Amino acid sequence: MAFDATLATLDWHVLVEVALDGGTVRYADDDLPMSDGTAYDGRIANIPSLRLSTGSLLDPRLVSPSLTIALHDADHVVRDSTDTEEWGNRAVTIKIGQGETIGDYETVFFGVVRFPGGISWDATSLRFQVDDIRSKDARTLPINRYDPATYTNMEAKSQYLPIPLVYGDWQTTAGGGEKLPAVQIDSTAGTGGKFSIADHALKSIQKVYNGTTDITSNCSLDAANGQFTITTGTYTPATETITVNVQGATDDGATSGALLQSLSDIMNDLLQTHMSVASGNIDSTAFTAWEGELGTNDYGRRWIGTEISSDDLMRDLLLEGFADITIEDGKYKPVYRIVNAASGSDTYLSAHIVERSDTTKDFTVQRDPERIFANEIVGDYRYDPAGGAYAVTYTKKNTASIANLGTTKRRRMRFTWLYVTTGAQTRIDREVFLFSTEPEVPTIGLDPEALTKGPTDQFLLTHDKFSATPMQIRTINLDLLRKRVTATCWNMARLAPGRWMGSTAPTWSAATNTERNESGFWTNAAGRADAADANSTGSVYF
Amino acid sequence: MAFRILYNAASDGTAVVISSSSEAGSHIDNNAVKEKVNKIWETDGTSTEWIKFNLVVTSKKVDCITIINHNLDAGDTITFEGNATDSWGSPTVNETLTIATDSDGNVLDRITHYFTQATLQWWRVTIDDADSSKSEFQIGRIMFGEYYDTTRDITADLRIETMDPSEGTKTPGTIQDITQKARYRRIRTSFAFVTQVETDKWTAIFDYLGNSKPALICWDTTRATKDSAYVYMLTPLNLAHQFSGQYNIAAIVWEEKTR
Repeated sequence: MAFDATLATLDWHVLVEVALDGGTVRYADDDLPMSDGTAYDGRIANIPSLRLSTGSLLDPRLVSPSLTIALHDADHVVRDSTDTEEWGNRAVTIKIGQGETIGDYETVFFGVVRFPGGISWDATSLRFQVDDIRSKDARTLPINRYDPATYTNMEAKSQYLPIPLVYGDWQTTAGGGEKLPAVQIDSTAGTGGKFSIADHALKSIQKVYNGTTDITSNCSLDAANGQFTITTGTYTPATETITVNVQGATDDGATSGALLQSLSDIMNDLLQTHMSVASGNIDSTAFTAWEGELGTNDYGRRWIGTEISSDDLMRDLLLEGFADITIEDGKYKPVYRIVNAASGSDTYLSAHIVERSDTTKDFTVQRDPERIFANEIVGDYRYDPAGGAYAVTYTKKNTASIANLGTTKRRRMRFTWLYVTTGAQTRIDREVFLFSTEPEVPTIGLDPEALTKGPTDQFLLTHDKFSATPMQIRTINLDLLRKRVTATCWNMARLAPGRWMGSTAPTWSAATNTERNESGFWTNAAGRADAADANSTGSVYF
Repeated sequence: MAFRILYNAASDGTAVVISSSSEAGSHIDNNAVKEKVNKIWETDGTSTEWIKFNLVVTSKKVDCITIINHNLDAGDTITFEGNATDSWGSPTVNETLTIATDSDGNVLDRITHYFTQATLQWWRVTIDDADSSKSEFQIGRIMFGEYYDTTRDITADLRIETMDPSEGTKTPGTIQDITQKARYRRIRTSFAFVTQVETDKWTAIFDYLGNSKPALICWDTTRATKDSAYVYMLTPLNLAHQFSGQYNIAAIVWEEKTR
C-alpha cells in the first residue's frame, strides 16, 4: 500500500536520516525495522513544527526552517557519534509515512546539520539543528579581491576591491551602452599597464575607453581571462579612468560559450559556478520552465563589483523575474508566479479544513498583511556601474485607484538585473496591476492530506467566499508528529497575470473559474470579456 | 496459577556469542537479544533458518524461553534445542514450541515455553516455513534462562489492562485522524504474607531489574504464551510488614513492551 495520507487511521511515523561519512544513521519516533533491511532507531523525542517558507512577496527567498530535532540519548550513543564523526553540514532527510514499508514514506524536507553551533546535549537527550541546504551554499560574492600581494604592481586606488563578476550584455548597443570600470593590475605590462575587468572569462571585450576616448585599437584584448593590456599610450591612475563595453560570463566559462543573459540561466550559473551547488541539486526542468515564461526583453545583466550576499543576488533575480524559489527533494527549484492549479489539481473544500475546539473552521483571511499595496510604482533600471547611478526612471500609476482612495501609495523598485526598456517597464506595469488591489492571504488549518505540500505548491480552494480559487502556499507549518498543517497562502486569482488564450479555449461565459484565472480574454471598450457580465472586467484595470 | 519471572536471562549475557543462518540488511542476529523488541533479526530466507547462542560458560541453567514480535504463522515449525557442544544431530534438549492464536484465530506474536531445566553451553532456535507462505522470518526478541517461581502466588486482585495509546485530535461527530500505536498490557500483581526468604528474593529481583531492565513474567503457566508478557516494572517494590517475617508486597505494575 502506497503512502496514503487520506486514511483516517495510520501507523504514522516520522523518519530522520543523517548521511554521515561512515554511513547513514536513521532515527524514528519508534523503533522501525524497515522492509528494505534498514532499521530506524526510535530515538526521536521531539520535532517542532517544520516551517517552510518562500519568503514575502517582495522578498522571495528561502527561509531557513531552523529546525531542532531532539533525540533520546541517555545512553550517549548519539553524542559519541558526534564525537567520532563530523555531523556539521551533513545531509538530513525527513520523511513521513506509515508502517514498515519504506516505499510508504515520502520526503518532506531535505537539509543539513547546522554548522557551526548546531549540536547540544544533556544527560538524557541530544539536539541538533537543521537548516536548509541553502544555508550551506550561501556565500558572499565576489569571492576574490585585488590583493596587492598577488598584484604587486597594481594601482593603489583599487587595492582590496572585489574582483567583479559580470553577467549579461554590456556592449554599446545594449541598454544605453553603459560602461564597466576596469582596474589596472600590472603597471609594468605594455605601455599603459594590464587591466582586469572580471574574475572569469568574458564572451567578448568590445570597447576600451580612457575617459571618453576609445582606445580599443591601442589594446591587446584577453577576453578569456577578463583582461586587456594597453600596448600604445599611457594611463595615469590619479587622473584617468579606464572603462569597457563587454559581454559577460558564458555558459561554459570560456569565450566560446553562449552569453548568459536570461535570469534563469544567470541564477543557474550563480548556483553552480559561484556557490558550488552540484548539478544534481538543480531542478533543471524548473529552470527551463521559468526561462520559458520570460522573453528576450526580460534579459538581465549585472556588474557585481561590491560584496553582496548570494541570497540577495538570488532574491533580486526572483523578484525581477517574477518567481519564487523552493528546495524540493534537495534541488533548487524556481517557480514562476502564475496560476497552474489547473483542473485535476488538489481541491480543498470546507471538509479539508480542520476545526478549532469551538468547532469553527481554522480559517482566517487577511488583506495585504505585508502592506505592499501600491497604486504608483516608480521604477529605476539600467544601472550604470561606471557612473554609479541609474540611467532611467519610469513611473506607472493606477489613476482609478488613486482617485478612488484619494491617496497615492507609491513604492520604488530598483532593478539590478532588468535593463531592456520593454522588459523593465512591463515589469513595473505588472507591479501596479498586481498590487493596486490588496492581496488576500488566507491562513488555513488543513487536514493531514496536505502534509506533503510545500511552499509554491498550488491548490484550488472552495470555502468561504472562494470557489475553485487558485491558492499558492507561501508558508507552511508542518507538525509532523501530530499530523497538523497550517498553510499561509496567496490568492492568485486576484494577482496572477493570465496568458494568451489558446485557440480552443472556452469563452468567458463558458469558462470555469480556473480557466478564467489562467487565460486572457479579448474585451470590449468597457473592459468586459462578456458584454453582458459586469464581473468580466478583470482584464482591464487601468 | 503460579507466578514465574525470568530476569537476568542467560541469553542476555554480554559474553554470549550469537550466529545465524542468515541476516537481512541491518536486521542482524544480535538484534534478537536487544531489549527493544522492534529491533529485529530478519532472515533472508525461510527454509530451515536458525539462530545459535554460545553461552561460553557451562554453568547457566535454562528452563524457559520467550520469543517476542515474530512474524511466524500457524503453519511454521519452531524448535528450541540445547546441547553441550555445537553439534545438533541429537541435542540434549529438543523442544517444539507452539505458535498460539487468539480467539479470532490470529497468531499471537509471542511464544513462551517452559521445559525441564538443563545446564548446557549451546542453544539454538530453528524455524521453518513449512507452507512457504513468506519470504523471510522476523523475530524481535529471544530471551531464555532460568525462571523463578514464587512460593507465594499472586493474590486475587490480579488486574490486566490492555491499552491502546493511539493518538488523535477529538472532534465531536467527526472521524478522527488517528496515529496508530502499538497496544500493550499493564499487569498489576500483589503478593500477601510473603516470607522473609522470598521477600529477600524479591529485593534481589528488584535490585537487578529496577525500573530499567526487562523481564518475562507469566501469571498462568497452564497457558504460558497467552498469559505471559515481556515487561518492565513501573512501580517501586513496596514491602509492607504484616507481622514477624511476613510482608505484603503492594501492587507491582508491570508494563508490557510490544515495540
